[in-house]
Amino acid sequence: MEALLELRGVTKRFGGLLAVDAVDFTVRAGEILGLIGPNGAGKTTLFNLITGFHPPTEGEIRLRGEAIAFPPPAGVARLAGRRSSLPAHRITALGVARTFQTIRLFKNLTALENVMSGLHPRTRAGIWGALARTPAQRREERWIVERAGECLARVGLGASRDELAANLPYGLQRRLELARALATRPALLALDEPAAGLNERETDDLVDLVRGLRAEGLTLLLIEHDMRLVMRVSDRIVVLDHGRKIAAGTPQEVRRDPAVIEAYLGAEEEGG
Amino acid sequence: MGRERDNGAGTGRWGGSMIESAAAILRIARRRPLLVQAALLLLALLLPLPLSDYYRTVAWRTGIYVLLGLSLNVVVGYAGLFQLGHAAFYAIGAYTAAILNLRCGVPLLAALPASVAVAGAAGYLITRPILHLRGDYLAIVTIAFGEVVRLALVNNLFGITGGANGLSGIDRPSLFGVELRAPIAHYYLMLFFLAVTIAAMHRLERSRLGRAWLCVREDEEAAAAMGIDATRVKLQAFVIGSAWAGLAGGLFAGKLTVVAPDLAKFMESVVLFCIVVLGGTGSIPGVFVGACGMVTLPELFRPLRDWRDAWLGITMVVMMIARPEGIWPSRRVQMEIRGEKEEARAPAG
Repeated sequence: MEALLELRGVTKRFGGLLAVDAVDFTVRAGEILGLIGPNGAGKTTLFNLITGFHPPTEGEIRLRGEAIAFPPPAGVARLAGRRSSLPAHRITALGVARTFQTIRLFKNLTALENVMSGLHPRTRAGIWGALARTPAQRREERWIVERAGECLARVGLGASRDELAANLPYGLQRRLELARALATRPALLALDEPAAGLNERETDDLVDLVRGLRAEGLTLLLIEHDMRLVMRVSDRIVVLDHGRKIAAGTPQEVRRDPAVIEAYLGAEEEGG
Repeated sequence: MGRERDNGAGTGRWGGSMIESAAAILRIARRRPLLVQAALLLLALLLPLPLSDYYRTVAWRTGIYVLLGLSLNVVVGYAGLFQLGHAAFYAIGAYTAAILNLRCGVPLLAALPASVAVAGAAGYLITRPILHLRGDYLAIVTIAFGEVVRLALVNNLFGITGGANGLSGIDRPSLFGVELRAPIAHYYLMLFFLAVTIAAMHRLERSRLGRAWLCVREDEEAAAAMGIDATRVKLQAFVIGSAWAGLAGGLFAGKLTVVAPDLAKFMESVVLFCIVVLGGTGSIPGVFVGACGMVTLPELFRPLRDWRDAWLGITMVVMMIARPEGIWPSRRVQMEIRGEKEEARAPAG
């Protein structure tokens, strides 16, 4: 299968803290890749590197072969105008959408308006279009409302479109975040703990939704704490511990890997 | 419907019918926004007719401040950026019109587009390097830039700004060969631009760019994750706001025929900021209310003028305690502020 996203020796240091340590892996087009690891393993940091929120300290991230993230140029290279990593909004426009671990909706906007924001990179009306309300701008506005409505319906939120995001119950807020990310029409959808705080039924719905999205051709990268969920939906799993990749493979392989049991499952079983 | 009936029963027959008719008017108003707009426009057109020249000038001044307030509202209200040096762009617009008129003999109305363009370009140049600053830091830098502009004008920049005395003897604007001299003519000229501005702001609010501003104001990182270029849309807010302030500056120069560096003084920027914040951040009617409170009232109570700064301070303190969202806030800002208050009040955990 074709590689959609490649990480090569990606490292991130925050001062003295080594959050991500020389991680390599590939996300293949059309698969669901689970990213797991104990708390503080560096999963969310890795997510932030992939989606352009931080530049890596070392290494490189490529999307469809094009470098999107690499260390910021320093010294002479910077003065010479060498290009730095793509900013988050450009990466979104290139087809990597994300959700956040703690929900970050635009709380005082309605559900529909939240999703409309996701259509921003796919539309172009600017100041003049808005002021003159040109036919092209009005057509585009209609298109935005239509698409946003479709995305809401896709995650089963069609009935709540005029509800304020802040007033939606927690489970629906999670879905709204998903709808908003889908509106950017991503090739790769990165979900940061999408099942956190969901009850069993909501988690089942999420699994159906994730599988449905994959069937439509989407590639998914999934950080998840809920091991059962990851094992159920992932094609392959990458395990992080203390910022390092300690294992990768199918759910069956990972489950049997001694390093993983040691680092993660072992600790989990003790706890439970 | 049911609730209104109950209210009516509680206040007796006369009160009841009054409440009901008021509710009926409100209902019609909400269903027919065009009717309301037409009524307001008619009111604004008739307003100066019974007034003396003095009060016509007061109305004109209020209108100019509404224009300025609306321009600052783009920056502060929609995009949520603290701009405490907005008067600098007002001054830049006024000086541009004055210099073009005095030096090159450009008629004042023809100089207005240049006022808009120069103020917008200055907005771009000044804010481009400071866009990454957040909150209070941005406020401090904008104060400094406002002062820099004022001092540059005082120091007779390029020998064309006339130093501390400013420039005088600017031609009055003329329309179809008629010189606009009477206050009422200036009032209608201002009203024309004000109507255009309100229509433009209304459109901006409901556009792709307007939504992007709201998103950036609510959560810049989430906006970036949605593919919104926060730097770009913030810059657009600054440029639009500055350019519009330049328009107000040009109109000012044409009415007073004198411009002075005082236009850019810090207190002026504070008054503009108060107009937006006290009236209701992000709300067009709020700016009207704010301008009336900050400009018209002190003007009408002339003998108390020395107390104007105290009035400003007292209203600011009282408002921040009693009604932080402003007198006539936009629906969203009201929810934002009320919501935060409730969250703060809720017990931790």
